[in-house]
Amino acid sequence: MSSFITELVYTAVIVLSCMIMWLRTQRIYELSGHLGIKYFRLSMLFFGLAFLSRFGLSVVNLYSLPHDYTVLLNVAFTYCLMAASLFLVFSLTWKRFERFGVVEGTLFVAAFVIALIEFVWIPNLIFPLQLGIVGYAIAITYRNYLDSRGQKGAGMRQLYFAALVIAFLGYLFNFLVIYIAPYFPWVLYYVDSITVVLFLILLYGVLKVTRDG
Amino acid sequence: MAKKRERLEVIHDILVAVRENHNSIKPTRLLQLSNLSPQMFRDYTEELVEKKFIREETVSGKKTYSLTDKGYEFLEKYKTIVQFIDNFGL
Repeated sequence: MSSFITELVYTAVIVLSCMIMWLRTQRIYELSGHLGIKYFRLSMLFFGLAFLSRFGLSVVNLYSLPHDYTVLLNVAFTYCLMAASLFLVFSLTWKRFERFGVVEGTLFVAAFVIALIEFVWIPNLIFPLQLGIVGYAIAITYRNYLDSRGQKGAGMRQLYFAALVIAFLGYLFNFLVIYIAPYFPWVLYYVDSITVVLFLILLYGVLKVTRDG
Repeated sequence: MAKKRERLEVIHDILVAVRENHNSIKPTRLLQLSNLSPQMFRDYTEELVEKKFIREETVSGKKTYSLTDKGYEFLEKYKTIVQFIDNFGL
């Protein structure tokens, strides 16, 4: 029961952070129509949904609900997490892909196909993929930070880069936890703490800019 | 060579030009102030009218543009928008 309450608090912090980021950026997106802002918002929306699905799995376990729910929530979790990561990277790279005509529909399809492959053929496929995607995002944000050094906004770019490094470590530990958690269950708390720190950094970044809006 | 203006910057410049002309400006004058080609100017003004940032009015047979509330709000929030895009490298 205590782990369920921990999961509840953990989910509440992350989902609430995502919801605030989604709402705080709504008006600036409506006014600007900027695609980077759109994809960043979609990423936060899907992260929120992913963690809600994960919490759903805890509810299913607690009340011993039918196995079908576990399957459904697992697929939903993988789909949302993949969509969130893909949109996060796309928010940083959309201008490069614009000329190839890559549209957001492609990302939805890719996330769905990956969720399906993970469920049917390759369990835990999501972890190496997430590491690759976040690793790519780290490279881009690091370059963005270097480009902006000494300029206004460099501090936040540095923080965003740090947040993604934290995300990478979170995914890496998560990957390892699958194999070592049975022996060291406390490791999970560290992974969850890392994730909470990541979302609080992102929330801070969003609130810092939009506080006057 | 001067850096090519981003879409948002062009919109900002057009709206500022309208505002600074007592919120009523003729197309020819706006074209001069916006530094755009006639085709680009037409595309932008059509988009801005369609998205209700500016309104097109005909006074004494002459067409003028003026800002709507949404246009003013865009100008008010422009700094926040640019800062957000810049901070997150979007």
